[in-house]
Amino acid sequence: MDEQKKLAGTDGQDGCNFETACSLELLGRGETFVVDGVELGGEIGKRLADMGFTRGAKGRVVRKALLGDPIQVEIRGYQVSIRKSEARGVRIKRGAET
Amino acid sequence: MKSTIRIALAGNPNCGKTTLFNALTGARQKVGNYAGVTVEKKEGSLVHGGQSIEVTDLPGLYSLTSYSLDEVVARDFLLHERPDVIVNVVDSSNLERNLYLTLQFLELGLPTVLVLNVADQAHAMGYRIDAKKLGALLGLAVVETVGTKGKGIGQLLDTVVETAENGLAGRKLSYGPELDNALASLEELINQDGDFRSKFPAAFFAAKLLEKDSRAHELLASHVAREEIEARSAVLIKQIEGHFGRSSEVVVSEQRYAYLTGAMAEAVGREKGVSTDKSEVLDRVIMNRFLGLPVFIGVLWAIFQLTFTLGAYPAEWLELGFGWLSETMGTLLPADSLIRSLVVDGIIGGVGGVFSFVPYVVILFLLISLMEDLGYMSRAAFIMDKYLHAFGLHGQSFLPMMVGFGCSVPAIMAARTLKNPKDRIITIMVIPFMSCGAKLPVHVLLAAAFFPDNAANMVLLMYATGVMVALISALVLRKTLLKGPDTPFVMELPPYRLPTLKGIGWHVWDKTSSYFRKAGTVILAASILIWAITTFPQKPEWTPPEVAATADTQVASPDAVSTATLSDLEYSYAGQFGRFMEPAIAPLGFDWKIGISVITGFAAKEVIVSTMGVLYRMDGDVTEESESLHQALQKDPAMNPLVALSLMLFTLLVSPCLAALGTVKAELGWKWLGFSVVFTLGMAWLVSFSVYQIGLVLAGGLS
Repeated sequence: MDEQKKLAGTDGQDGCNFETACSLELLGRGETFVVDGVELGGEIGKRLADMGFTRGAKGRVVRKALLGDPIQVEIRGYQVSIRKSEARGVRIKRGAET
Repeated sequence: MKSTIRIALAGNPNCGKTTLFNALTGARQKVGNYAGVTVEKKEGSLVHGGQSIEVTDLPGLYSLTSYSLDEVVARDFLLHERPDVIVNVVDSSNLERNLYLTLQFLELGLPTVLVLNVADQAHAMGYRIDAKKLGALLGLAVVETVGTKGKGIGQLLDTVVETAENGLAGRKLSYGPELDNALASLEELINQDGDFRSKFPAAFFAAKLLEKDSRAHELLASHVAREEIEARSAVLIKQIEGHFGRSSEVVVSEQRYAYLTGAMAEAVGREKGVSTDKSEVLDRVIMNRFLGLPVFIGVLWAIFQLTFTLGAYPAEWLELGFGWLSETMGTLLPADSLIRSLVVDGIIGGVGGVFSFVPYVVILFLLISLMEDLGYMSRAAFIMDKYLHAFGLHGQSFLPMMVGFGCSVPAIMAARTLKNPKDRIITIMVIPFMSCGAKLPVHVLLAAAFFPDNAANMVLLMYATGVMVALISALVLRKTLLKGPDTPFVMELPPYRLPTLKGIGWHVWDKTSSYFRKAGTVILAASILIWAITTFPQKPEWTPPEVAATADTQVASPDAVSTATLSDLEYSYAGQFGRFMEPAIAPLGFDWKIGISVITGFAAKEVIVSTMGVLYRMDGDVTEESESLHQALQKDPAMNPLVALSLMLFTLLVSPCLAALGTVKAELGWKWLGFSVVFTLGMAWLVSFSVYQIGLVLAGGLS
């Protein structure tokens, strides 16, 4: 199943794995990640960084809302909701032990 | 020893700060606003071991940027008022992100005491925090408390008094060599101006400049070496961005977290194998992709059912009480005197009518703050965000809009939960379109009289129309007047927590008393005003009906006996104004009587029904169920189903009552109040006009 393949964290089809960074938006439910950095500047980027989306932070996509947006993410041990458009601006590396 | 120690309570939202504030100050609080803004300012005082202490509760915040009003207010307070001690409350079970704010307090250089709150929960979750070590690493005093149980308060106060005397232990924070060098270079420049240095902390300013903070740049205007500082910070930002490959404001956040990660590794241990997230069990149902929305609708339904079922009893008692008061005053004051009319019809009638809504407001607030404290509100926003976002609204707008079904006054106040000013303005502008409880009697009266076979559906149609107009208006406002980039929807989903009874009690008291203060004064004034314009000018002398009828040939009613009553009203300013505005409302199908009813509706929407009662010569209390008013309306040649529909729509969309308008003024100021009045009036007129005119054409086509 697609979901399981993604859970394994080594899915290379989208060119995104634990070595090559990609956007957080691409991750499915249950997948873990390590933040590489927030690409956005300005208010949204600053807010994401202030809330803990910074290089090295470990996280997990907990769930997505009915239409895939917004996304509930566990980051630095707490739960936060972000929009898909915001997740797009967060570069991550797929797969991490939490 | 200082005569009074001023402390500021600060911390993230959901850290238990308010509970601690209540535990510290008890009933000795006063609630006000920060100058010029509607961010609530809570102050209290206490005496500890002979030392008097003043406490200011700052709004909950995650950082000290200048993006959100709460953050601006908090940092201006800290910068300009310089409290003796910052009491920084942190949630021990979410330490890393909470400490991020602590670092910024340390940059401010103000003496800070760190309060590890809900220490018991963190322990249960497997965290082992070495408080002493953490304090040493950060260079501040650390106290453990359990706010809900009042544990550790005495020790906290001892530490506060000590810190106020000794100041900050202080420890140079390190954000990595690149940033440290840049900061040092900026600090050196900033410190050249002795005057500036005595007022503002250089370390804080240096960091803010690298964060491209707009307010820091504004404050810098008074600095002698302003241009040099600006130039150097621009160069440094360029260097940093070149080195890290990310924008400088993000880099500063990253380096703060990096510092914290180091400190955490040294001072906090973690026991493995302890279940960390009990909330997840509940969330699997409540936040479930498919169950989330039904659960949310169920919760809303339950809140409204409870509010209106439970509230009906005390509301009835209040009505009885005001009825008794009105009768008593009626017999005490001289009959037929102006003062009796003012007190009984004007003040008691007007204020009493509104105060019987208080039970509903209290219960609604009780349930809402319960949901908020439980942690459900942010989850509901998560579920609703996608749908509301499509209309340019924020996920958190749903709550004020739903409250708007009950009453616009608390709804407009509830919009404070929206931190972005534009989101807040849009929400407040569309709340009046949500059909509030006071509009219901009007809908019911007209629907029952003119659509007897479809009365319930007609009322439902009004509610649906209101929601649609609100959503479309929001979209239009977002695309035109209140354009702007999307505000971040980075919203914490706090763990579910059982609130304490005391905490809920405080919440309700807080909201209810401000409802009384704001609405009470406005309603009183409005009631007197409405009474005055419907009473004055009085007819000089009572004239026999025949004379009145001939003198006033325009009176439509052929019924000579009732002309006296009718003319009284018609003679008044309200009556004259009704006549005057007839040309403006005739295209909507309204005659001057409906015009007056609508005007008096500004006092409170239910008043439309009672004014119609007066105009249609009903005796005694007129309610929406009074059979004879139905008949009187049906008999009036000026009324028909099309006019009724037009009037229902007009009532639905027109500017809210004076109490709600007073609240808009208090929240957003005169400018937006004016806009709101024009916007809602225009909308109501346009919609009623279109429906009435299209209806006329259709009716003409049929016959």
